[in-house]
Amino acid sequence: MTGEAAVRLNKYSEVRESIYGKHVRSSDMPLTGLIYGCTAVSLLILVGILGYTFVRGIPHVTWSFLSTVSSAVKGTFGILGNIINTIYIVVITLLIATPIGVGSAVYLNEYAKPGKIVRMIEFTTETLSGIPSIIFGLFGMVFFGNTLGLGYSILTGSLTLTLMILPPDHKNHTGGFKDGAGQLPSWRSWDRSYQMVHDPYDSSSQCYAGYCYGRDPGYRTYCRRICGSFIHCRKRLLSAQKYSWQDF
Amino acid sequence: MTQETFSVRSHHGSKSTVERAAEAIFTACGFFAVLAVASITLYMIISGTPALFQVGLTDILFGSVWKPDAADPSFGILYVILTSIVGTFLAILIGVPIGVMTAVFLAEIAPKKIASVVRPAVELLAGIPSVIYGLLGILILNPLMYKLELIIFKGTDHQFTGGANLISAVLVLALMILPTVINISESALRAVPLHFRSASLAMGATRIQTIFHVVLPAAKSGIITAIVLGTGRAIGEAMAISLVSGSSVNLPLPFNSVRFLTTAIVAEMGYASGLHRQVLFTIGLVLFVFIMLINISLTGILKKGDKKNDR
Repeated sequence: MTGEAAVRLNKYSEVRESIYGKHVRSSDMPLTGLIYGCTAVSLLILVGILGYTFVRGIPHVTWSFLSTVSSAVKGTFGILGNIINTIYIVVITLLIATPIGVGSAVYLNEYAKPGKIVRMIEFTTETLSGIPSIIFGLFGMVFFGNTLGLGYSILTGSLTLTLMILPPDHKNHTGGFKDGAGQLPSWRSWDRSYQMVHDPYDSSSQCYAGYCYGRDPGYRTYCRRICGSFIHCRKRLLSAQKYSWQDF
Repeated sequence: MTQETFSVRSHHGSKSTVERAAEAIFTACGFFAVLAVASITLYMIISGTPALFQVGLTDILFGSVWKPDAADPSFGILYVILTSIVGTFLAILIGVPIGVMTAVFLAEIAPKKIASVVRPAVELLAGIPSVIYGLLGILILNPLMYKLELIIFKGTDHQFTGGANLISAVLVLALMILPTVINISESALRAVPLHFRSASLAMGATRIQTIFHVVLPAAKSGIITAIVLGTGRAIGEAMAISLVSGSSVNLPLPFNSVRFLTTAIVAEMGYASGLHRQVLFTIGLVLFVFIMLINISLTGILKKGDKKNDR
């Protein structure tokens, strides 16, 4: 090692060749190896997963696979229904969750005063992000499905997903603009909030939506029970249409 | 110039209706998370406790026989609870060292270019849906485990599982907590002030000594947070391990087919009814209690860290 460590710490450093480079401990070697080894394991697994999925999956992706629904009557096997359901559930979830999430962030930034209430909201937000999906599933099934009488439907799924994707709070993302707006005495906090959310230079609200979108499709599998895909597994034998246009 | 400063608010005199309505709406949004957690807690307790009293607290929590469909049904979930604890613990044992070392590589050792490739890759790992992990576990891990099983238990009366056993589940779980551990540990390591490292290097310590004796101890509370969040993710994971663990109620031994708290609910909720269904909700309640304990301890750790920083 030459003086590269010093350069790494301070990029303006003039030290390129120093006595530091001569300091070598043999016991450092296994630990360095350990660090490199662990990184290699993490990366190999990732590359392996992606590679395996693509290699095994790509040959089966054909136009008819993407554009038909599974039907024993027509003898087709496709995932159009599942794709449409996924898009439905993501869009509806975002329509419900984005206003609440952004509104919540505005409240924390603009209205709430630091103290017990904010601490409580932060604690519950953290708790919400720690609750496993299966608990959300049970709750959604009982509350939205039975108590509110929505049954197994996309709406039940979307409402449950709304609870699941709310936690990422972007409390600190909107700070700078607020300070700017606060300088203008004529701006009421409602205007400021509106401006914050629509600020073209601050993409936090878009990021939020994007983040939720990313989390949604991954988690839909957990919600298969509350969205009723079991029912539709049975239905699809009888009718292809009903499989893609769910009952909500 | 007659008036130097101009304010709309002074013209209004008081807050307008729009302003008050907006405040009410935003406040409602702000309390949404509180409402959600409160109602989830309430519903879990309401739907989980009846079976506890009907079957008996000790019979459920410490009974080891799970025969919900028998004429004389018994609902002991001791093995299920044990499996969740043992499985999560082993997954943490494997996943955390690998994750923390990768974080050390990303934060301390990797040149900028390599780090900028590896970091998005790790984030990608976090975005992969758990069912994919499960699927790959079935396709790759289970056949391997089955071969191993055939060699180890040749000629014994071992109940062969086809490779769907505790080890497969633990490996999949360890893999799934990696992104969580890596991301949080890395930001904890990056938060350690540069002068800590400078001082250590100036004292003649090598880079590795600096990492293991200065940087890692300084980032301790962040790394503990990573471990706790990883534990939370592992204990709550359902989809992937329901595919690879075999899902029959057994003692958590390495080559046994096992059932976790989460997979117990997933496996039987579809057809359960009556008391059986209520017991499944009780399992949900047990899981919920575990998660709450983890969350509360996490909040404790974070608070402790804050206090330290304030000093």
